Amino acid sequence: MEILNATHLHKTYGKRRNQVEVLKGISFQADEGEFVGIMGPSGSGKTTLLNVLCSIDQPTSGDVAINGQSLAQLSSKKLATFRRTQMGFIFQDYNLLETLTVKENILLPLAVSNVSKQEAEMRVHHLMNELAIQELAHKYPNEISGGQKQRTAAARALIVQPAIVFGDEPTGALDSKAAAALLEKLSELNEAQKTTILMVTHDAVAASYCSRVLFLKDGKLYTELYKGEQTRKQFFENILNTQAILGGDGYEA
Amino acid sequence: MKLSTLVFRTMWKNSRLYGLYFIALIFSSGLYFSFLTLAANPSVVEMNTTSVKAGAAFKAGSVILVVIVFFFVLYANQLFMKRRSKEFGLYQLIGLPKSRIARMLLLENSIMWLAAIAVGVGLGAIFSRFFALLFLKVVDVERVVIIDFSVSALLQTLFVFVILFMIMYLQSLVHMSRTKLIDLFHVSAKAEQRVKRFSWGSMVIGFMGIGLIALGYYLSTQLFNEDIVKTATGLYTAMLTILASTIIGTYLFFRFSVAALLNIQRKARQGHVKIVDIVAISPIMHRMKTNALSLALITTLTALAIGVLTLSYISYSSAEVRSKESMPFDMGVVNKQHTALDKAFDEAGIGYKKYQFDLIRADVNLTDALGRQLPEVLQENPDTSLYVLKEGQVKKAAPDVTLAEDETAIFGYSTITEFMLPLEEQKTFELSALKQKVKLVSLHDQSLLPSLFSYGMPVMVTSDSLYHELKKHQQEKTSITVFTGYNLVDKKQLAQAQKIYYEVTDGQFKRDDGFDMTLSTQDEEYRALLEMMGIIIFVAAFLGLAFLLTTGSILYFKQMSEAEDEAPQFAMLRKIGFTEQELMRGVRYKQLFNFGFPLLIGICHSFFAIKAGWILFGVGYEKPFMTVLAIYIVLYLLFAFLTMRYYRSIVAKSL
Repeated sequence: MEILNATHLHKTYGKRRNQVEVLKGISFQADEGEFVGIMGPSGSGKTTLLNVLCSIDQPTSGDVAINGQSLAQLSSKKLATFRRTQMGFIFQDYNLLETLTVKENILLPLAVSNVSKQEAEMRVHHLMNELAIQELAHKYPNEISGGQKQRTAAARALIVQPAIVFGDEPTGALDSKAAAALLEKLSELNEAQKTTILMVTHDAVAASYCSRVLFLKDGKLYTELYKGEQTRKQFFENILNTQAILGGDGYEA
Repeated sequence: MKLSTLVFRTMWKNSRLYGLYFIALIFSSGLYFSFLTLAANPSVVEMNTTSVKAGAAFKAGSVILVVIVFFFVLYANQLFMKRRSKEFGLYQLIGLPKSRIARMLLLENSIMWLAAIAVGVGLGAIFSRFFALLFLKVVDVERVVIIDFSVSALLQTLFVFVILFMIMYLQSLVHMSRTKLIDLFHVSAKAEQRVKRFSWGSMVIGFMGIGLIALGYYLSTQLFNEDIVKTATGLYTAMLTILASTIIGTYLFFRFSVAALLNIQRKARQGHVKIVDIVAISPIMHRMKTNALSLALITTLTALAIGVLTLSYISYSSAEVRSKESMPFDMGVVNKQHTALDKAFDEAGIGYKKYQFDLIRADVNLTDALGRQLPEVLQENPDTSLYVLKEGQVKKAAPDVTLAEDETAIFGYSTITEFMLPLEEQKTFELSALKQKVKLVSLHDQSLLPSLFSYGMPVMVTSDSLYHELKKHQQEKTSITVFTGYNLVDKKQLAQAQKIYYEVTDGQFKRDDGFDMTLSTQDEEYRALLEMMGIIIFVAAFLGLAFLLTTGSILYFKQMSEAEDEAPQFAMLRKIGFTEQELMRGVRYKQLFNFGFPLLIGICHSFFAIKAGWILFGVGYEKPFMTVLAIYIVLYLLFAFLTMRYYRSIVAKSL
């Protein structure tokens, strides 16, 4: 089933003479249960694309539909509700609230929903178990490690049982071990629960956990790679090769 | 880029931060200048009737104002320096030496202060006339005022504010020299309190805080209870205990109780947070350590301002009642002076009603008639002597008095008399001279004799026969044997009548204790009181406004910096799908706390203080208290409104 459908996305910034076209007509689909990575050199429009896809930013032209719902037709208030109920977010710098405990941070998106307390409690326990942060429930963010913080953030993204989870460099601030642990968990959840995940990354290792990787160059879709039956190692090599052809950054990972 | 360009750009950028500070500076310098101008202007400060010098009150007011402004400026400056530490760090990073930054700060602050003082003095000069008129209206004096621009007031204003400025600048320099470049980038992170768990210990201290406030309140209601207060030192001890326990309790309340209470409610949620918990409760809990002191201070200042304003308003609004106690009739004379006055009035064609009382003094022991026991320090001695009037003469002034042979009524039973000598109707007491008991049938707050006659002691009225009995047994003659009161038929003739009154009699008489006293007309008493209390309430009102402005500004500044610290959180919350409205709902709760709690607790404090002490200031506290509250709350809400507006803009542009 098709979860995300982006059609002819254009995005320009600035006015008249200083206009910069960041997205130059991007179209792609993501099906239910896919784990999609978006890669590309800096300035290729990765973050802009992500912001447009998750409705934080509006495209100049083109449309995004999630679960069949066109985002362009929604008011900003409806969009907020849509984001809260249908999307999950994992940010590079975790963005946990320092004043809330781990459990409270996870339950945060449900603050204004009508999910029953029992149901919410069940989901929280399930997710904390899955992400191995059960013991940290009553700890504050400053008492736990970066990897644990990001797993908390992942749980927060998944608590609403979203149609799609957006990740903006989720492993960017983690050391390689913590990053691997997080990605393991994410791909497990992705396979077990058929959660659709879309993540921007410049790290080939992180991208190798995906089932498909899109490459962006100069605001256009350059190519895409499917993992298919390859092992993660082989897929990783493939990604590196494509990056080499693409040029730009990417080797520092 | 030149230094001055940089200065102007940063000032523009920080205009929101400094806006209210600028206004507060304008207000205080303007008020200071006006106070000084008025103090030095004889057409304003010389009162008609009282010898009280309004100039002294204005001077005292200006001194208190400087003290308020002093603390405000230092506090606000400290806040700004912390706020801008990153900016200064950046300048240093790109190679600007500290001395250069210091020069920049000097330039920036000088421009702002100079502008503020110029505007302040300008407005002060314009409004001085308005102040003077308002003041004369308050003290009910009609007079032409000419107010020249006072150069000496200007010089003194400049002098005081230059000193203030130098102290403030010194503070900035100390702050700068103490911080290292690396710290500058950490300040805001450090100020953000490290999140800590809430221990049982702090919960206990928290409840102790509430207990201390309750104890203070309880003691204040028992202040005049004989079980607790027995001696004068006991009274002072009790007062100090009340003050200390309420102030310490307030601090502990904010430091521990709030977090403890909120923690309970949060625990009850079991992690299932609502928007209020996210935006309001948990940030408040975690900031309590840094905010407690300023919130407690603001609460205390609010209580002080409301208390002082209410008490001065009580005094002011009691002028009429008090003047009737001093002179129960339009005017009055003692002994034989009435014949001359009658004649003079008749000749001038002034219509009047005359009330004449023959006076004797009788020893009484009121102990048996007391309603409740009072601490000895406060109580009038019940074994005393009172003036006695006879029913037949009193009836004209108080028609509903009818007394049997063994009955008596007490007049001039004012609130303060009631407080010092709490009598009860239907009880009996002894007339010492006759060794006979009389029944106290009624108590009247109406006065019949000027309070000067007997230091405010009440007056006893008996039946005519008992009066003559007492007169027979009177041991020594009183120096005042007759008092004659006059009420004018036509109040329009008051001025004329007063003139005649002072021509015919000098109002002087000798009291029984040998002191020479002077009687004034009721109108004159009223004006004297009004002028005296008017000066106090006028100065108090403007100082109260200064209090309000400074406390409100500080709350606003604090919330501004909190809002900026929280901006990234709002960005995240809006990304994951909270709407602006939902977030603002949380913010509203937060402001309800930040502004509501200091106000509410301050009002509570002042209420108990006023309830304990209002009786010494006048008659009735409800109306003055409510009036002061209404005005204070409205002005205070203005700051809450400004804060909400600032928050709204932060939330709106966070995404």
